[in-house]
Amino acid sequence: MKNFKSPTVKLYFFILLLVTAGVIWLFVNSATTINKMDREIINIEKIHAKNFAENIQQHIKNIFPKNLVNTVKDNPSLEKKINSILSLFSNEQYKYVYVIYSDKKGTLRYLADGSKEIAERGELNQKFEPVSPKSWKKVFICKKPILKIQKNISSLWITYLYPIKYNNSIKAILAFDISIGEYKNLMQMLQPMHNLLFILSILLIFILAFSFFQTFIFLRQRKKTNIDTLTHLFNRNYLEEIRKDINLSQCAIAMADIDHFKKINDNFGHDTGDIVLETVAKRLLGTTRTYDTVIRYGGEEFLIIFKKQTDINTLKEVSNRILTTISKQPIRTDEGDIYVTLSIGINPTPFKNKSFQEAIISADKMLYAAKTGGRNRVVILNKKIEENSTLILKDISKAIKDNRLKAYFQPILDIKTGKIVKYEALARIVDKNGNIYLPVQFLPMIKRTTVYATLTKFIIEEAFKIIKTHKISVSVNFFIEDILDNSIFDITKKLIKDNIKIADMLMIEILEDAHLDNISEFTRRMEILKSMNVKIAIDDFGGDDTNFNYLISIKPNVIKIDGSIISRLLIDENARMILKGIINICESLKIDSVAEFVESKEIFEMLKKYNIKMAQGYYIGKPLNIYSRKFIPRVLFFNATK
Amino acid sequence: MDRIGVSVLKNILMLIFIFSTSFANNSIAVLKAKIIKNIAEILVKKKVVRVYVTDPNFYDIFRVQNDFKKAISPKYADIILTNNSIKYENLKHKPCIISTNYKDYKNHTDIDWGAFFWQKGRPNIILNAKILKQKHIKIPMQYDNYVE
Repeated sequence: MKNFKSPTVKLYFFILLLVTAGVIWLFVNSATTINKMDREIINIEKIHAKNFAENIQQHIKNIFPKNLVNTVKDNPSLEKKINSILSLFSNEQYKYVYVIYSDKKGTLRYLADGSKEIAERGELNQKFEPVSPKSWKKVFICKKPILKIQKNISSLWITYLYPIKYNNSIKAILAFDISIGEYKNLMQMLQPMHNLLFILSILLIFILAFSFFQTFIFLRQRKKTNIDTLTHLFNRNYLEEIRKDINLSQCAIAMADIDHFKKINDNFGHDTGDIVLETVAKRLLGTTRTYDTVIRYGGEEFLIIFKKQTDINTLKEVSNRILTTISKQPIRTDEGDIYVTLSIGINPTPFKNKSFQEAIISADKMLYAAKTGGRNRVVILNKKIEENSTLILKDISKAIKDNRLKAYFQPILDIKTGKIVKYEALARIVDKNGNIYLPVQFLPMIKRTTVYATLTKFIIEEAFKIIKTHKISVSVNFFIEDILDNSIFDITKKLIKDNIKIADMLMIEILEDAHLDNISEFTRRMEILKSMNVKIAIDDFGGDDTNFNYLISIKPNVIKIDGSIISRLLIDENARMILKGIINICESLKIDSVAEFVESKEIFEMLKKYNIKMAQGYYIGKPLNIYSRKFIPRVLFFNATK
Repeated sequence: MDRIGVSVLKNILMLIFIFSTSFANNSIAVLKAKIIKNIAEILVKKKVVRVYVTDPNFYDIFRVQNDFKKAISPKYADIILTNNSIKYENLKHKPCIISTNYKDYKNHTDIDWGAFFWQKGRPNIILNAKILKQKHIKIPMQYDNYVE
């Protein structure tokens, strides 16, 4: 998966890191505290033991002022005496108190033992086997007491070794073993703290485990919401998430669109269309670089964010590789092998745009150029294109603000009566120099922006103004995706509701320019509009994107026959036959027909021979601003001789 | 830092410790059995040793050592662990008698091959030099310290 690390994920991992650090800190801190207490207890014990040993030594020296070892060895009967002295000091805490000497061979032997239990008492000259002989030897060498923690003897905690000196020479070691019971007693006092730390640790481990689990759930959920289920590419949710993190100065943005995808859906069905989408997505992932991001932007539209090396040559190389991979290999489907092509528009300098959205629009504009330039090609935005480009988003926003967005109205003639019966509302933008821009020059730039919604609102409002003032029907163009766009649909609905009394004079012309994914929702929304008395027309019928299914699903009131048929009537028999067919369909379904692109008297005359109801085109009348002097809202009789 | 590390480990292994304490008694039995096995290897030189025990403190060695066979009678024993050596003085096959009490050993150095007893929580081993000499038993160097 080629992706960005979103800030939410970073935050999640940061929190997790924080909790982990907290747990480690608590562990280390509690361990340090316990350790400190342990050392403190041992230090206290050391002081006690030293005092205790000095006390015993004093007693021994009082009784045996000369060399203790030699005295006892020479007179074994003294053993009992010294044993009884030592046993006075032996208690529950100081479990064993005994004196050890080192013989000539260095073997440690008992000199006396104050142990109360006979089985535990060592006899004079009995060999003594310490667990750690090194400590004992060290006392003889260093002449200093040693405190030894007993780790291998379960009943003992500490063994304290104290040198018994005569004339600064060590004759024996006074040893005593401190019972583990003493340690347990001390530890019992600290038990509540131990328990608290233990519970706290368990709690934190639990929190940590829970946090890991939550992170796992979050990442899984995030993957679900950010991944398109069909293509397994990222979707627009993901784009929204990473939008702020995209560094426009370090990337290039491309919009790619499958050519004639609607035809694939219409001809082979949606299942095949899905296979095509899946395959194209796979190929896109396969041909882009690991650090590029591919997003399913719309139906058959893909957004590619090229990162690192975004120079024109590399972009050309990558995008040509994409085109070749997609167009050269057929896509295997149950309906047979299908060849598809892709059009790509690239914006290599998104940092020149004010926002990411503008950068996408710019790439979309190039995609539009690739489409109009013949499809299956890449168009990269360059200086020349930039200079020749029509309008950019900010110009359009400014034009709306400056009241330079205009609604033009083109008349539609009833051929039989010779009366203008309708107008088609058309948007125009006039620049500061008075140049007029057509929708094809600015709509791609503002699609999916709030400006587009503003424009739609303006045109509908203008249409209603004409209807109110001149009591004549006006049609407004809508793309299929406009109907499916919640904000545009809501604006439209509200405006119709506000003008419900004259809503029957408003006609919505549906332009088929995109693949329709959600036909049921589209049909539902069209039904809502129809229930408000609005008339429905299908625009450009008979053109590239014609779908007869709409005649059934949305039951239009009017069909506007595509200009490509009308303009060829004089020269092409097939065009005339198709026209005849369409007219027959309209008659059968009781749908009114409008011929578009009526640009000459000859065409107009020919149309009269067919049972076509209305005509529209430059020959009938050019689109005019309502404030123009030439604008005559209702021409009673059309002057066919002009 | 090492001490802290050890303590951290102590904390983490607290649960393990709870379980391990239940095996503490076992570890002493294992130690006893190991020592007896070493003694047997030196003195008896048999792979499977038949041991006869009269001191209840040593009953647990059979639980942890498979190389020992519990002899039902001193007559069949290779080693006798006892705190009353005199009782086994007259056994015809002259088994290896190890006393489990120092006093008992001191009083029967003619009978006991050695002593193995626990005093002040520490294991004590004595190998009787006189008997070893009589039986022509050679002791490995590392056990020299135990010969008295």
